[in-house]
Amino acid sequence: MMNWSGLLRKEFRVTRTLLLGVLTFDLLVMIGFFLASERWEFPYLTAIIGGVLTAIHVFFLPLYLLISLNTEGRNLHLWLHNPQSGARLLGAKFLNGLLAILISIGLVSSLSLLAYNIETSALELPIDNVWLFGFYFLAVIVTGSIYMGIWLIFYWTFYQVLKTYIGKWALLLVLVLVAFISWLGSWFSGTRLSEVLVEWGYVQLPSPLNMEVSQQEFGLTVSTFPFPVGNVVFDIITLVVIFLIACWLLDRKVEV
Amino acid sequence: MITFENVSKRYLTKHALSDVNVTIPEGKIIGLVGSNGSGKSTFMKMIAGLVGPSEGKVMIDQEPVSRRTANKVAYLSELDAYYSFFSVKETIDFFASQFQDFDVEKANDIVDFMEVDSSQKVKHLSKGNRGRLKIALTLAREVPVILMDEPLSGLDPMVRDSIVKGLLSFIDLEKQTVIITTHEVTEIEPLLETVIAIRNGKVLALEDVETIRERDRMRIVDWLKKMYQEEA
Amino acid sequence: MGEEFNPSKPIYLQLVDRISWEIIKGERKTGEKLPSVREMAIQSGVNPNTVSRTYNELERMEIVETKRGQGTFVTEQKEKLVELREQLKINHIQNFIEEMKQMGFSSEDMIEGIRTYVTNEKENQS
Repeated sequence: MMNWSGLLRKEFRVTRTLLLGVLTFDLLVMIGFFLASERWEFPYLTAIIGGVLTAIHVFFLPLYLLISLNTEGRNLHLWLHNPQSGARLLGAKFLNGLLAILISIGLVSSLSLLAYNIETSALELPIDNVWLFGFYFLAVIVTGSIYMGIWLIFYWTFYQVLKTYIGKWALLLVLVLVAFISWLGSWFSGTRLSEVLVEWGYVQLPSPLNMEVSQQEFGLTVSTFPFPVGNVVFDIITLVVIFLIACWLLDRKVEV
Repeated sequence: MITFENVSKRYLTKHALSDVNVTIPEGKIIGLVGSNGSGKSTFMKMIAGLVGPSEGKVMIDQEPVSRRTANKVAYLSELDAYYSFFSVKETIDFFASQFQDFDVEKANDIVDFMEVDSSQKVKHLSKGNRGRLKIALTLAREVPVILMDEPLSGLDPMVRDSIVKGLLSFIDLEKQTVIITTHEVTEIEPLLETVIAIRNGKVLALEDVETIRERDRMRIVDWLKKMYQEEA
Repeated sequence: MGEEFNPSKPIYLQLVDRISWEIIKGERKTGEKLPSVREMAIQSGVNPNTVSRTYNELERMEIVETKRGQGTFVTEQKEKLVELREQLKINHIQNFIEEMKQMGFSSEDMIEGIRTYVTNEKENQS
């Protein structure tokens, strides 16, 4: 396991400065808006900005991975001259990215929550709702980021394969591929097959929005919304498959 | 034993190697010589499994080479080979974590032998010391095959000397085969036991250096010129 | 970097000559241990396999002896060294005569030349 932990530690160092930069940015934005909201007497401003900042995190993992992978791209022989599998080389980057997004998003969320509790307003939202909403929101952002991150790994690896043979045209071809796959995805989602594959296993999840907000009886009428587990399963399988393809390409087809 | 069987490598516009057939003997220091763009680097990368053949097979001990052949091959690139944010010591520790055969003690010995300060950040090292570090990282591995692409290029005579001495001090030809490409052939000529001449992606000859001296009464450079003329 | 070698003669033979020469001149004493193959390789900047070959050749000539686990030593058999010295003398004379002949000197010219040279040198010294 020494090689795996060695790889993880190295990945952490590759993007340490980047992560520190992002965290500093998070802090500055949150503190800045916290002070501003006091002055402007704008209720919940910090929490709202925190929400926006969290939302932006959907791009965190793909960008993080792009930067990390491009660091290796400049010295591919150094990264690839390694007996470890492509799954480990890419997996170490993915896990580090995941850790980084969780740290950054955790910081922003806690600060938002803190600010929400400090700032006062006439309008009091039930705290259970806030928790539930926050949880869904974070889940959507983080899973969205993971989804894009893995696609990025796939496209980046594919780009590296093409680059060996067609040089600078590789980027163009990859962009064409991105467009084609997006089109394929939207076409597929309209088909019957997609319905069969994706829309099954509905469960009822508690909804944070349909709750009646009233001073007298808040939290008593928790309604639910249907959520297809099949969709999640389908997406996970897709991601695993494209990740494995990326690993195979890295092991067999990427050349220095 | 490393063998190339009918190996060709084609890119979009050029042939890097064409129909190479060669068996590389074990336990020797072998020089791979040829002009710029003759396919030397591609040849080396293929043994390291970092470039795959378009046709044919490259094998080490009867097994086809792949990227993960890195556990049998130590490859020193002509390019820089370290993460700039690491110190020398951290670089050694990282390599030790990645390669099971990496001998940390040996790496430290080599670094000491070459007088490189191991607490320094790699990005702050002089060019000469970066060259030395690369050598240390390569020679500290107890692998059957060591590949060195241009280990001396761009370095001053003092550094070149310490690299050659380091090489002689730390390789074990009973267990290791070393392949070196270099522009400074004359300088390392006494180091080489065998040479492979390569031109336009074709292997022209594999010959014992002592035989060349005895039979042709020539330096490798002159012999190479002769081979090139005969081919042209 | 290691010393220069003549490009038209195998290096192992050049090393044999060099070590023999050092032994005859007394730079390496009888019974003295020669450097290990690796040390010799580093000192002279030569491939270790070439050094091994040199040692084998010296051993075949019975100028050195390899003691198992201890290393290679200059032979203690004086007569072998005397023989070597004689052999080197003959080699040098052969080379000398070969080159003089190529310049068109007869054997008498050479002997006469040597005699004159030696006499002059003695007079200069006294």
